[in-house]
Amino acid sequence: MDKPRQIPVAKILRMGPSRRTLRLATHLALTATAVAVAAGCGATGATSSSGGAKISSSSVVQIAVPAALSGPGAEIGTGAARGIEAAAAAINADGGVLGHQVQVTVKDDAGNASNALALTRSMLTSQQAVAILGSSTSATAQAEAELAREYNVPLLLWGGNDASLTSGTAGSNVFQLEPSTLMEPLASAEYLSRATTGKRYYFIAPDYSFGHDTVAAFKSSMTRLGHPVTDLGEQYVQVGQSSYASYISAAMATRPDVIYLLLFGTDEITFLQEAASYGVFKNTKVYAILGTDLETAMGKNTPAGLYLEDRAPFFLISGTQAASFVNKYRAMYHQWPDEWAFLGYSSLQVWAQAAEKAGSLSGSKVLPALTSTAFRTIRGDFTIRSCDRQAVVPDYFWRTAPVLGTTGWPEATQEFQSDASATLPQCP
Amino acid sequence: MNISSLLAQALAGLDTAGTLFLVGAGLTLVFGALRIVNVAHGSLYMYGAYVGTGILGAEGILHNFLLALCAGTAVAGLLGIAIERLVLRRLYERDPVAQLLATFALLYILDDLAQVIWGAGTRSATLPGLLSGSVHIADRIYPIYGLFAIGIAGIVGAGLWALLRATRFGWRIRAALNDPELLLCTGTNVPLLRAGVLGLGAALAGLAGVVGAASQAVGPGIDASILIDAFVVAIIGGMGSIGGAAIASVLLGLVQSFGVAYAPQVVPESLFLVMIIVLVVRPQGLLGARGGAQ
Repeated sequence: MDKPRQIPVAKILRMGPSRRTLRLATHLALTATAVAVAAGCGATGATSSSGGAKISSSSVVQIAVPAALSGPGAEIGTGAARGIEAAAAAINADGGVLGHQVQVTVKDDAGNASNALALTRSMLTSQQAVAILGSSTSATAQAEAELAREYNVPLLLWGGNDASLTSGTAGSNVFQLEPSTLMEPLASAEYLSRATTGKRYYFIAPDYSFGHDTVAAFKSSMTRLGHPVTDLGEQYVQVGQSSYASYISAAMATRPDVIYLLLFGTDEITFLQEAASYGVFKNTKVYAILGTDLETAMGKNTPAGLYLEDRAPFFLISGTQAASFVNKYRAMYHQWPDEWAFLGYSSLQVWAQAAEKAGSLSGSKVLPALTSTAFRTIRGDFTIRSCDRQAVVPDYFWRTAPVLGTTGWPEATQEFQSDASATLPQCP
Repeated sequence: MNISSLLAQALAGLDTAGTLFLVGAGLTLVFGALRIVNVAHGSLYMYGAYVGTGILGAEGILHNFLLALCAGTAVAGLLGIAIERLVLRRLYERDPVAQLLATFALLYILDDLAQVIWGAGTRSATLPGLLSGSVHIADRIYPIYGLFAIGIAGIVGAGLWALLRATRFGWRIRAALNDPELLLCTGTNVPLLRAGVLGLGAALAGLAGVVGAASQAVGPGIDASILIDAFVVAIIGGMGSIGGAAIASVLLGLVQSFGVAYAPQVVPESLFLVMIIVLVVRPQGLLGARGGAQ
């Protein structure tokens, strides 16, 4: 689920050679710097460090967090960074890891793979980070995977869930903590085959491997579950559309029972807002992904009766750890934590528990411990398989309540948690 | 394929065309009169959208669609004037690459500034009550707001045509393009004219942002997305031609809409295919006459 971006401002400014251009460039750079300082994280490459009170460098262990804090994926990176920083504070308050305080350095890669490569390398060399927690997209995760292998440190993924990331030699140091792109379509098939009786499906997905692969896997999973679907049409779109009116009109002409929507971010919300204007929800069911982000953005405008998926929705995860985090997050940021905050939080917990079990901070010791530890995290207990370094974690589903706004967000019905083991591909 | 399906796709295409025209017209107007390719035009659209979403998301008396339209248009227009006064004014005599790079830098700076002001999250707005319903046209449901967006684009198009043809300001804009030296001889305040043109182009981008924000999502990245569409409209229509932008918007909206319904495999490439065909057959664009705010 990747969006391309971008040439850093600094690179553009370096291109003007004359005195006048340089003077202008200086003005622009100063403005950009002011903006970045004001934001704390605005410009590409901006950094924030956290993890507790002042600590001496000898007792500190560094964790690298490349994340998109600006650009189209900023929401993902911001949530994850907040979660990781909260986890660091909690771990440090509890004595740290093997007596070391954890210091998290978050750098803004703007969702760009070359930025991610340069910033992560810098954190691994100059700060001697012992682990990488990434990444906002599968493309940036791919870049970080190469470095994880080169420096022999683990890369724990809170974002970027392409199943190929953990495969082969290139993925040997990568550990996937989310349901992968192989698991999600199976889980959604399991849910929709129970939650709806409709068989006439219309598919709308982004025009790259995630969209094409997920639609194909979903259809074959429905057939395997004994609920084969009638495929009325498949639209693969370039993300960043300013309007989906044409797509909605074409979909409704086929009179589908279910629209299977794999868009996300502004594309997903634009589609749903326009779909409401077209009266889509009167007779058609709509399945959409990343539900916490969606409901946070749409608020009271969230259509009732939507079937939603999410990798870590706070209101479907039980336990005192989760409840405490939700309360603290709300107090600090005045909003509900999204799935990225939960995924980020758990990624640092996983590394810390593996390091404790290994009795070492060294990558060579922590790497094997990651697949032999039973983790107790904010998302619940889970393990990581050694064959593909995939966490055995569920995917979550719910339906937005028919009447929204009576008891406050979120309101959900038909809640469902997939059987993680059943959605995992067999180990070779 | 039946009449109601064709009509539904045509209306959806015109809906898309409305936004494309509003944002493309501003870009082409600025280029036509000032000979500057303003890459920051996408940012002006985004600022209009954020302001519009903020007002439409407010409670009480502030939740007013007309106020959102005015405020989003005004904020973008003033921002455009500020860009002209602070940056572009120093670059008119420079080569086009310097101008392009400066506005490119502004796009990123304004993008980061927007995240400082409005955050990294995605926002959505509630449509005003009168415009939130739908109507049945030939047994198909069609949103009232879509018809409203088409109407706004039509009114703005007619207004721009009248402005350029029937007012002294419009005459000066066209003169700035066709014969800038003659314009100087007439005693026209050229710096003021330039600021006015950029303000008008920016205001159009802001208006497009508010119109879009009422029915679509607003978040980081919408500036770059809309910019590509605006460029395609301006290039196909002919850089500097308002009439060309109108024809190009309708052409692109309909090509996309009917493509989605009847040839979905080629939709992603269709806009650029149309652009390439037009450039090969008529390099100056449909109504471009080697420059001319027409």
